[in-house]
Amino acid sequence: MIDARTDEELLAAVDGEPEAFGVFYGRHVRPLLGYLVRRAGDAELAADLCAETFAAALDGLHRFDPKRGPAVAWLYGIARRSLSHAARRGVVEDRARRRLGMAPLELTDAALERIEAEASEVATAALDALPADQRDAVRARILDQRDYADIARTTRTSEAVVRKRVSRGLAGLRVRMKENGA
Amino acid sequence: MSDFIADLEAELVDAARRRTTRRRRHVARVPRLRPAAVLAVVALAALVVALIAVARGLDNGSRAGDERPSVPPGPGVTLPLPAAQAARACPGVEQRSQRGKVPQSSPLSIFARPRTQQDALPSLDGADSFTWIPAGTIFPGASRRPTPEQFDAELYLVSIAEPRQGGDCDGFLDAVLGVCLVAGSGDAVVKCFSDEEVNAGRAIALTSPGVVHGIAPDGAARVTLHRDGEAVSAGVHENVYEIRVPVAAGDEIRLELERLEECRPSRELLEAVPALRDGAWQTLPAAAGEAMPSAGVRQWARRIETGDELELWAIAHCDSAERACVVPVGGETHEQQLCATAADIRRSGMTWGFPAHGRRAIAGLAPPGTRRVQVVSGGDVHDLSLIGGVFGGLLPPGFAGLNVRFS
Repeated sequence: MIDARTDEELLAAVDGEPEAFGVFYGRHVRPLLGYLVRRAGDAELAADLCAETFAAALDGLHRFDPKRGPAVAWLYGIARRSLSHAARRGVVEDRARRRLGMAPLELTDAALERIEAEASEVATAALDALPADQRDAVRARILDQRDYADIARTTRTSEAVVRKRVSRGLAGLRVRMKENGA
Repeated sequence: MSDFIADLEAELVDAARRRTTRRRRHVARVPRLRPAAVLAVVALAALVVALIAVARGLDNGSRAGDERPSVPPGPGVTLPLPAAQAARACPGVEQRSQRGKVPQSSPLSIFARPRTQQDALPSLDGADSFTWIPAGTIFPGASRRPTPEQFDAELYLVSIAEPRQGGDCDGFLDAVLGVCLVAGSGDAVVKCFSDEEVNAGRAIALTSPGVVHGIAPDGAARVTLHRDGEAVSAGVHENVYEIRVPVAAGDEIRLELERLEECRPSRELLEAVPALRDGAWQTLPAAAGEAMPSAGVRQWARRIETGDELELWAIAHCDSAERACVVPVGGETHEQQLCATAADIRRSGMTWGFPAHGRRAIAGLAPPGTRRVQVVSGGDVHDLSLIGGVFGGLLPPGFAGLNVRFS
């Protein structure tokens, strides 16, 4: 059954309903894995980063403030920090997973191949289904974490227009993810 | 759906449940205080912290850089001696059996060493599972049998989460990580402790008449048990100790842990990082010493020349799980360091990129058997200095990324 709640409503519900985090996870894990596979260039590293990103999100739920932006942007912000930490140190941090008492997941070669194939396909398909202006705006803002003013400058539009495109793009992605059963 | 995605979801939802349980318990236990009372508590806590800091400074001013926080300082801990319980199966009780690496808030080095056949937990007569270990979650693959020749009893340690309070089958599950000590095989007794108890040096139990066993945190070399003015000491072997003393369950005892004065790299670490084998030890420069999370062991530090302006130090570090660390000196980033356990190094080596002398630099620990380390950037390849498993160097201008090739 499709959960009609917004991401922000799901995160707000986790304290009383832990399964809500599973719904949030289900909506975003494939696109996030796709993003990480593309950025890290390695499925195993991407899986490790993905696990730490969601663990850090769960562990730091109290820090999420919906007034500062959508939950998906917050999630990708965590992923981007994890990526940058891994690139700097050569290792993926596992602090959040340790704090939560999560066991490390063992990955078989077959699982890694599926991650590479599935994750990037789903992410690309969902993004590609958006109108071009929204897709570019979502990529620039959410995946590349550029600020609105910068995107507006390079696309020669106003910040307000970029914000609208990002907002519509994210709404479109949400609808597609729900349609896919997440 | 890939297994990874489903498995991670299950782990996360379980973690969310544990988090919710913890928060509820926390909220239930913490009484609501009036603002004035909160201020008074904060002021009192600040005063206590200041007094402790002053007392430690007066007592031990010159030792600050050599503390290992995992061993509690001071005159030890006083507690009533708990008794281990007879192991008995709990049919029908739900217990999660987790495979894979063990999450530990404070790792014990015994769990870092390779596991052998004799480390497997014994099976209990009539029990087809491990419900006789009083815990909601058990990591059976992470059991270890501490050095058998050091102990009269057959002992095992096993990592767990959610120890059952009181050890009963219907005991309340405490949402913490921990370790259980099993003594004996056919008629085994068992006692579980939280990581917090282990770190505080309170993990001890009467396992048979006149015999106590305990788990000591990393860095502890010897334990002394005081009772009624008498003191009995025993050495710690692989985080475990055994003391024969006429004592009964419930007796008030005081335990003192003596810190390990010297850290010698294990054979496993020396095999993973041959640079640590050589005897040309040097004093770690102060800047590099400050980069270590706590006490590095100076006599086991060695300088590695990379052939350019970068100087690396290889250090055996015994603060918690034994690790080898690499600290660069001479760049802008000596406040950072890379540490890895022997298992990590064996598995895939460790690589770390950082700025130094206005350029990018790379350092790390190569897997055993590596003869050559290269960085690949676009179509260009650059060889790095490799000495005793420690590699590093400044990268030519234009090189980016961490694409390191071991051969």
